[in-house]
Order: sequence, then structure tokens, then C-alpha cells
Amino acid sequence: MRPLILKGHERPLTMLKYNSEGDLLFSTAKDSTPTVWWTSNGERIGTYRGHSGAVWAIDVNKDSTRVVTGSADNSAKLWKAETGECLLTWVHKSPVRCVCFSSDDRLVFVATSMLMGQSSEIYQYRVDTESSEEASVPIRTLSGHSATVTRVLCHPNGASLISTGEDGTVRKWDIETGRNTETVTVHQKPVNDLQLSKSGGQLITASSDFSAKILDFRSLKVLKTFLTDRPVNSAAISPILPHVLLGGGQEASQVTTTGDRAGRFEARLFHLIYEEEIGIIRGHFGPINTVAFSPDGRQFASGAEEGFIRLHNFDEDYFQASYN
Amino acid sequence: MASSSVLPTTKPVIREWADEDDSSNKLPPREEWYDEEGLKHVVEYHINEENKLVKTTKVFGVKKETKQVSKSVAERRGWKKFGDCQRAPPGPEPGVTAVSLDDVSIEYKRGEESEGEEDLKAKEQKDIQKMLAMQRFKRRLEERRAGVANWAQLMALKAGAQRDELEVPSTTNTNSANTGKYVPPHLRGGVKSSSDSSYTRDDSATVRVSNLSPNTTESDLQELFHPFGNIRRIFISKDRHTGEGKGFAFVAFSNREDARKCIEKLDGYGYDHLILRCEWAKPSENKRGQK
Repeated sequence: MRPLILKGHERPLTMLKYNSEGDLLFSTAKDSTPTVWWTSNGERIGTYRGHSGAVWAIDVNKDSTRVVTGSADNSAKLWKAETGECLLTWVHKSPVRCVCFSSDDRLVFVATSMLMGQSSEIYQYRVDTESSEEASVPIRTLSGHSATVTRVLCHPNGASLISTGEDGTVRKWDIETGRNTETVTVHQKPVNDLQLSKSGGQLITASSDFSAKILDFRSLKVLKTFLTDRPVNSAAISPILPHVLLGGGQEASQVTTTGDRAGRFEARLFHLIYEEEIGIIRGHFGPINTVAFSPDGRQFASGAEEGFIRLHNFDEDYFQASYN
Repeated sequence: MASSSVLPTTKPVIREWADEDDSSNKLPPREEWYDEEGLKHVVEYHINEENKLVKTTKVFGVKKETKQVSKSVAERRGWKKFGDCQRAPPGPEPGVTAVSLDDVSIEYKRGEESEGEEDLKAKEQKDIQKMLAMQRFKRRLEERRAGVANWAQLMALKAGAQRDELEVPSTTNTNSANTGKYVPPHLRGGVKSSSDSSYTRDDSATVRVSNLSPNTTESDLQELFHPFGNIRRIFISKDRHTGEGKGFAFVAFSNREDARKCIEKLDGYGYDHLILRCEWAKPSENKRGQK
């Protein structure tokens, strides 16, 4: 495969997100412009201009009409996906670390960092209303994490919110009541990424403790553990094969004069059931910060510290090979 | 697919660091057109470090693919560009989207490769090892023959009755070592470098196959030719731009007898609606020539 290299960002990538049909890829980086791309040819469609700091997270609603971003300039913004017009800005007291739409797209969850003397909170906003006053006031604040929340996501069942953070815990919240129903400590070090399987039955966490874990959504029990020798920054589950993709590498602050081979900057493919490494995909020359599978499972995107996104379309032999 | 040529500029461009941006205006504009074969030509100009105008011509084979998508995806294809790339023309922006120059593949962990591939690789390995063992055996035979022909060697053999047979070739080395000059191992003893022809490429067992259909692949030919004997190499001639086959290929056997049998059987054989033509490959004039 000959990957497409997208060079729209000037700073390390922070998050990649496919829309539900997989024709759009949204990317955020530590520069202040979230960007949207066509996944078929890597063409840049547009940038969302308005933030004045690193953008940490992005989410898109089901019909790809709205985009929400969270930035280190203490704000989260709601955008019109097609035109890049900013519809709403929510200002907080500390940098916004992650954002997500609820599964019915009527709510937006915004989580803030535990910085500047603030605790890390998850704010719940309404976006299905016409009046901007109503939308700009949080209807609820979910607190409980003892360190910065690094990822929030809504389960497709519509009732649960899942969050994870630098305290190594994964928490389940009841959206209806705002209660923290379950808490499990999964990792000893910060969890950097949390993604759902296609069916929503499993969660995958990626942690700085060199491992990634698959959790059962219902019980939050650890089902599988994938061990590597470097911090894992991002992990994704293939929607069509029992495969798991991990992105990571030496910590950015420790990368000095080592070559790309020594830094282990490759994406790693693991077998979901056997927990064994299948292979690696090289290409980046900085630690991979974020990986995502396209919804059809035939493509994946990885974004790294060097500021490049690589879009890989799997070769046919990847699908035909037997991995048992 | 790109070729660059340095064109002499009429006068050297002398630039100040301050008007670096202005110089880009003087460059001829980028050109793009499609020729009658459907190949896309792109001509770009830039000024290199020596202040010379460089013209870069790139030729692309363009393939159109029709894909069925859902209604909402089709509607989104009409989105206009916005933000930083608002003024960019339709299509990927040259400086932003690039196709990787290297072909990246999944590097499978050893021992966990897919079975089919593993089998093939193992077989290949075995074949190579068999061939190498054969060569080693031949060489040893020859060395021994040379060694025994040597009278002094014979005497030495008689003297050292307990000497292991395998040591014979190494003792022959003493002959050449007597001169005190270093002799590379492959030239020592009775081995003549010219006697080992399998290291140099010879066309004596190569078959030229023509009138192939353009989409014949190497594995097709492998399948067609392997019943005749061990194949050393298959080369299919392809168009540089489109990657389509030109309709002929070379198949090198390790054995001339196999090649002869193959020509007998396959010349005039109907394959893929075409009648194959097999003949001895003409030795190319220069070493690397067309082969």
C-alpha cells in the first residue's frame, strides 16, 4: 500500500475521527485549526478557524452536519461541518481536554483539564435548542475523576457515557441521572485513549503503562491485555477483523537523537483474541498520537508527533490472509 | 515517473533575501493536460540552489473508478472548500496531500505470517538450499579430482592415512599458499572460477515468450512454466507509464534441457485466447540489455 500523507498540520496531531460513513476524516493538532479531509483521496476540504490554542479533541455527529472541538484556549466550539462556521462557544476555567456528542446528537459533553487550580469536570450541554442562552449553560456537571479526563464517549445504547483519565480509571455514567454508576481502575498510569468496538460491546484503552486493554462494556471487566515496550498513545479495534491497532512510541520529551527504528514509531497490529502481535506498519518518524479505523475497516489513519497524518488503505492480501 | 532537466536561464537570477517571495512570480505557470492515451502530464518549474530554472515533467496514469455511495455521502461531495484552503482549486492541494514514495506493507512478525505466504517462502528457501548444496557438492568433487591428480597430494594422502576425506581440498591450498601471496578462497586449490557458471547470468537456458496478453502476471507464468523444470527468473516487460504488459516475457530455467522441452511444448500453445510464441532468447549485447 502507498499511504497518503496529509501535511495540513504544523504541530503534533492530537486526535483523528472518521464520520459515520467514513468519507470524512476530522483531525486536530496542537496548532489551532481542526481540519476535515476526504478519505478517498486525501484532499483537504477545510479548516475550522477560531481557536487560539492547541486543539485536543474533536467529534462529529451522526449525519456529519455538526462538529464539536475542545481546545487548550479554555473553550469548546460547535461548528457547522460543511462551512466551518462557528455556531457556539463554551468558555471554561481550564483547558478543554475532550468532547463528544451523545448518541442522539442532542447533547454535547465537554471535559476540562485539572490545571490552573481547577478540578477536572465533565460538562453537559444541550445543542438541540434554538436559543443560544439555553445552549451555552451546562445542564449538568459530572465530577468524580481525580485527574484530567482524557477521553469521553457516549455508548450507542444512548444511556451511558464512558470516561477515562490520567488517574487510570474508566468510569461509566448514567446520562439520565448524571450518576457515576461504575468505576474501575484499569491502568497504573494515565489512559491516553478510549475507543469503542463497532458493536459497542467492547472498549479499548491505551495507556502510558505500555499496554492496551479490552474491556467488556457491560461489566467493565478486562478481557484482553496487549503488552508493548513503549507507551501506547492510541488504540483502535478493527470493525471487520479481530484485530487491534496500537499507536505509540517513545515519549515526545524523550525523543532526542534516536533513529526512527529505535524510537518504535510504528503502528502495531495485534490479534484481538490471541493477544499476539501480527505485524507492524512503519512510516512515521515521531510517536503516533492517534489512530483510527475507517468504519468499513479497509482503511486506517494515524497521526503523529511530527505533524503528519498517514492514510493507509489495506492491501487485498491483508483481508485474505488467515491469522489463526 | 518524474524527470527533471535544468534549462539554462537567459541571465542568472540574482536575488536578495528580502525579495525571495517575489521571485516565484517570474516562474512559468504550472501546466496540466491529458494526452490522447489518457496520461496526465504535469509540468512544473522551480529555481534550484544554483539559481537555475528547473523544469519538472511528471506523467501519471489516471484511473477512473466508479463507486456506489449512500445519498448523504454523494451530497457531501458537493461541499465547497472553506477555511485555510478556501481559494484552493478542486482536487488535492500539491503541498498538502502527497502519496508516499515508499510502498509500505505490513511487516508480519516472524512465525505469524499467513500460511500461504509462509509455505511459499519455505519452499523458496528449500529450493535455494537444495541448489546451494548441489553446487557445493559439485565443487567438492572437482576440488577432490584436482587434488588427487596432484601427485604430491597423493603422496600426502598416503602418508597421512588417518586424514579425513573432507580435509583434502583444504590441504591442496598449500600449493598456492607456497607463493606467499594471498589467494581468495574461491580461487584456491583446483577450483576454476570459470567452471562455476551458475554465478554469472547466462541466457543459454532462457526462453523468450511473446504474444502474451497484457495482463499476464508473473504467477500466471510461474504456473504455466514450472512443470518443465526449475525456474530461475521470470521477467515480464511492462510499460513504464501504465504498468501494462508489453506482451512479451523472459523465463530463465536453471537447466537448458528444461528450456528446450518447454519451447517444444509451448510454442504455438493457446493461452488466454492468444497463441504463444516461445523461442530461445537472443543473448543481449550489453550485459543488462533488455533482459
